[in-house]
Amino acid sequence: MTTWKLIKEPVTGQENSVWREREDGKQESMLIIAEEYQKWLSEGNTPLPAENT
Amino acid sequence: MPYGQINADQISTSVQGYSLGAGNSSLLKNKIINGACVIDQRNAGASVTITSDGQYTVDRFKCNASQSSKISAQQNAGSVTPPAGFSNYLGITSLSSYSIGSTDYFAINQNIEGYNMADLNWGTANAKTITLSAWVYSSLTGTFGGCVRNSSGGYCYPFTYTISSANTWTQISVTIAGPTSGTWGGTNTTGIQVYFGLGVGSTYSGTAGAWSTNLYLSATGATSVVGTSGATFYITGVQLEVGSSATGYEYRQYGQELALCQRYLPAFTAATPAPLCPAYTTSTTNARGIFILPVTVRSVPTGIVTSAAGTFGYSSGSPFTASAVTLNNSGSANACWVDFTISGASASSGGTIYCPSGTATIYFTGCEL
Repeated sequence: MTTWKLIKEPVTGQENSVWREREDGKQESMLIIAEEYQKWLSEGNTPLPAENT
Repeated sequence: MPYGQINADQISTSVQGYSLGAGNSSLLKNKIINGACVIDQRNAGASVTITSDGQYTVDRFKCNASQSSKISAQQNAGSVTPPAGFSNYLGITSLSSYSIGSTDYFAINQNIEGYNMADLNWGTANAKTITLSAWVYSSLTGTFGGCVRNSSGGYCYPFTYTISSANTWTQISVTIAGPTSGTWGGTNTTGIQVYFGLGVGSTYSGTAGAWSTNLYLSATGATSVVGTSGATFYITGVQLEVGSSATGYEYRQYGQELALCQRYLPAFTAATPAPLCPAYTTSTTNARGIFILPVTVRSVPTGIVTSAAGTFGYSSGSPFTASAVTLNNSGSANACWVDFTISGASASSGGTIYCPSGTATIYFTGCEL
């Protein structure tokens, strides 16, 4: 799996979701409160920063 | 015009002796969802290698695996003829000859939502007896194992069953007296966990036929499917019902079974140029799709899995192809916003999210157990 990347909410600009491309070609987006993402963080991983738009 | 008399929860004359929650005459007796493995929204029949613990296969079933890439799972793997009355099954194939360690575990699992098992009164003096049944098929013979337990794993009932003939469908059943102790969830979290072991180490294997407060997934001495490269284990017709004997499998209509699955995995598919949902633009670079979920889901979705962004587009007269798709954080159990990054649209316009190329798929995650 590739690294999660933070995404800014288009209206508020808050970074409350992440995105990544999976090995099977599908794409995945998840809220930062999601259990799976929190587990990924707890394993010492760090997401890529959000783009400045 | 009396035609049968309803007395408490029993039909006492026309179908004597059968309660409405048990027996061949019952309705919605099977607490397992997609027990006939008909629905496969995630993989659409494709084989998946199990690389992570708890990876989902056909709807409502997942594979527990302490080691990556030791098994694959696929609806109708191996293309054998299902048992009479069934059209599909879940097939597991061992990808190596793996010697399980004491803490290893490989299993097929389905978690039953608390709302759907609260009537069993488990954890009380009135706990009801249940019977778990299934059709199984394996390239191996011997004693196989599994477990029924609560969500914490603090109350477990390991069981065994026998497959005597290789590559032959065998119907098995296990009757379990309901536990009068233990904590069993009664709302939208996990109520009962059902496991069919594929190779479980000694730490997580217990004595069959008795409730235990140890954390188990299977029974001591059970056959290890992962121990033989190429070994297969297929299963269908899984049913968990009230009563002390297995009754005929409850065939639900496709639409009913799909709706039951959608509570845990709402999914949308559209082939070009079909629409997916209404939408509006929040800016010139973002179209917000309004996905009305097909049923009220178990819990508010926290993620999405989609096909490539280019399979999604926004149309408000002019078409705009998406370059990214992300779940918005303001969803509910009935509807979710999804943001599609586009370029050059009119701000504050109304339109449609559609599929401009190929097939667009999106499913919402975080609702499963």
